[in-house]
Amino acid sequence: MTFDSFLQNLANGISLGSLYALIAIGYTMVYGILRLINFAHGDLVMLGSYFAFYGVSMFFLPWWAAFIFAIAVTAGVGVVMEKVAYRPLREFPRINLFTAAVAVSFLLENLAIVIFGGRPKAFSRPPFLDKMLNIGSITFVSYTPIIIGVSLVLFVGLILIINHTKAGTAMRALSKDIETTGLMGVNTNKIIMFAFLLGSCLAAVGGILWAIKFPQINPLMGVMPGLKAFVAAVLGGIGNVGGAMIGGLLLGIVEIMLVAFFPSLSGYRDAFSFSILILLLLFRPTGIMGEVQPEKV
Amino acid sequence: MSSIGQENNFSVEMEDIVLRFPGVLANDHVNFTLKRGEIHALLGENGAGKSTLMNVLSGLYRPESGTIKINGKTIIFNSPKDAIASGIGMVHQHFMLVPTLTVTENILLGLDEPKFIMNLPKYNSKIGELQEKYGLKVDPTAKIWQLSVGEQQRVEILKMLYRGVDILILDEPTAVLAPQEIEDLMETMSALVAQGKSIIFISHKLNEVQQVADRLTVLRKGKVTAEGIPVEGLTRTQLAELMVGREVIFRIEKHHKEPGEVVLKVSNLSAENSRGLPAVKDVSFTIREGEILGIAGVAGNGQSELVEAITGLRPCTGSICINGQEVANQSPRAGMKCGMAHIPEDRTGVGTAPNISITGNAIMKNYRQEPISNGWRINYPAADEHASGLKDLYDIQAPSVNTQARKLSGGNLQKLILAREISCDPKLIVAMQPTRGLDVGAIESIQNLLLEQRSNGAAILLLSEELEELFELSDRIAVIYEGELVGQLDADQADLNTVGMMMTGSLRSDE
Ligand SMILES: Nc1ncnc2c1ncn2[C@@H]1O[C@H](COP(=O)(O)OP(=O)(O)OP(=O)(O)O)[C@@H](O)[C@H]1O
Ligand SMILES: [Mg+2]
Repeated sequence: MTFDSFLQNLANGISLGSLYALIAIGYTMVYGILRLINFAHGDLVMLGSYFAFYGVSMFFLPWWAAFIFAIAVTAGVGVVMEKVAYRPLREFPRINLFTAAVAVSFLLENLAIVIFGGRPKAFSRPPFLDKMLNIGSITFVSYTPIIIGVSLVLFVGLILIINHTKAGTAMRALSKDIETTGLMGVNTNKIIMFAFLLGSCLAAVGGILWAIKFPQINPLMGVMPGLKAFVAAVLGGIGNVGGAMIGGLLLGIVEIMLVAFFPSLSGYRDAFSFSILILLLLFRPTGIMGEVQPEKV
Repeated sequence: MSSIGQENNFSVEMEDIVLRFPGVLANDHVNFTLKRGEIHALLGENGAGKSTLMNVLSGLYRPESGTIKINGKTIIFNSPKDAIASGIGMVHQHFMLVPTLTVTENILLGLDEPKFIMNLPKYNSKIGELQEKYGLKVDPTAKIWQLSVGEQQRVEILKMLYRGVDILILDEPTAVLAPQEIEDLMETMSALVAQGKSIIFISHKLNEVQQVADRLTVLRKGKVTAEGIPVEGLTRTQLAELMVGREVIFRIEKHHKEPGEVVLKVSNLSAENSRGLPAVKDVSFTIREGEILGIAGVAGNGQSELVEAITGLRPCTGSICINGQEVANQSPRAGMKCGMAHIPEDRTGVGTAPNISITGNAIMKNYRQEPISNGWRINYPAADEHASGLKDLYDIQAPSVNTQARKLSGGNLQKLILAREISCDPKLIVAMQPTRGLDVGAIESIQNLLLEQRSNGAAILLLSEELEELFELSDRIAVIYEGELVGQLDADQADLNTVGMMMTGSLRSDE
């Protein structure tokens, strides 16, 4: 393999990894605060791409307005999901929350089949994302740098929000000790809602970018990215936002490189991702950035 | 307009407060008043309802009936936020701080200001000014987990001052502090009062009450037994009697006993603390049957690590023999099988499982024995019976043995641990701070329980920061300083001064 094709694959890996990371952040934020693996998070990715699709094809919005519309509506779904399905169960044993998450996931998928139809739809990219670019001797489609750039901006923005705003500080506090933080006067409901809002926005962006990269959308399209992003979140250390970014990027790069170096193994790509997870967890059960947390009795 | 509001020099008037928990009447028609600019001590046995009453005043609990007046105006609090808005702030027995955030972040959390962006440098200096004013030193940029308990407490006080409270409630602030830190806190309290704040001070230590308080109120079993009487002129015995309702003899009866065979032999024991630094360094000692070895030392000089190594909770090098059996680096159960009982420093983390019942906690050591064990399952009726037996024998105050352990007051929780450990007929008892946070009555009964075990021939290793307690109970006293035993003395030859100097490392004696 030449150096050029290595660079090309690296760019592809980073763009796929950024998508994983965008989605993984939602998993990790919710897990950090509620200790809940939100199985329905992958379906928000699907909703994001569908809303963008309909924004253009049904409401004839310009692409940018359709994207904003899609992000807003998906965020709304995420917030409603928290309020209706999860908030009433917060005081009960964790297993109830998990069950609710599985149920919400099935609900969203099946609603999508009924409302949007089960047949895949073709997602048309805005024209400027369809160009071939040449830099030196490497060639790639223009959406690759856009995906990377957009993700990077969102990552930086999110880190700033978490570390330097009041809501971000409260989120960090909640993920350490929800009860005490509530007693300190923080409105826990509001902050948890905010976390779901952020996570859903990122999932929607992830869904739109995913549809731009793989322009065919269907009601179950969120399942695999969701699963991979979950793997990424665990790899990075679930509960840790920086870890989710690193885990996502790592997973994307490794997957693409595997296919590039061993084309004959490309069919085993998914099996390979999950094997990495199992191996890493054997040696570092808390993930790359995870810290050991004593379990509360 | 009447002039009553103007004349009124009470900042707080609580009248006829009633609060009930399932099965417990925690506050039974309680009256309480606080004058502006005073330090008011709130005393009472464990479980008397002191924390509950203050939780009512700080907006955490809504009373069933009764009124609260602040500066003469009747007010109903729906949340701690309301109470803070009326100028009342409470520092709880268990701190409410998030360990991974900085001091400033903790102080700002839950406030309306700042609205969105946390401009930490600006607030750091604001908090710095507050510190100057009241002499509460702590680095605003430090993370909470990096701070000592005393510093964390200062953060809690700063948090309240930053919210502009005038009335500060301190719930057993000195129970967790080292002697020097207690002195500092007393000074802070005086400074606060000098600046016009009023303080409600809960404590079990009567000498502290005599030192700082102006007036006191005593609760017993949810009822007021003394309301706002001046502290001056009261003797310690009178204070104790008000609290427990009977005379407390501060001198306990210790009979001479010839020690028997060696039970615990520790040789060349070393262990590291959780950060991997040496914490126990080459420690050797023995304890015989019917003997109490007291270990004195300033907190953080390796006491916790020493106890954890002996009880099998921390890896170590060297040898630990109980009745000739080596138990170093084995499971805690190895020690238990040799007859070791452990009364840990951390009651809720190590000593009990707070979320399970009294029964569950009571059978934790003997759940494998008949009749509690039925072979492969637990015979719950027998377990409950065992637990009720202990509850009666050790006078543990709780509605039933099915009550969750975390609902017990500090003293009753400690009695539960003692009951469990002592009921196994131990040959060796390792007790760390067994009377911390307990009322005078409970202290007396726990000290007597330990002495009773001594008479029964148990060997006891006692670690305490209360020198008085060590001197009263121990047959021999050893001093630990920076992980080393710097001296071992017979208790009747030891004097406070020598031990005090050894504790600070300025004297050592090697026998
Ligand atoms: N959350 C709760 N649920 C049920 N019972 C409780 C709860 N909190 C306290 N109690 C009970 O109310 C009574 C009063 O408890 P409180 O904590 O006010 O005592 P205290 O005077 O502060 O004791 P201590 O000196 O040990 O701190 C006790 O009998 C206790 O068991
Ligand atoms: Mg209390």
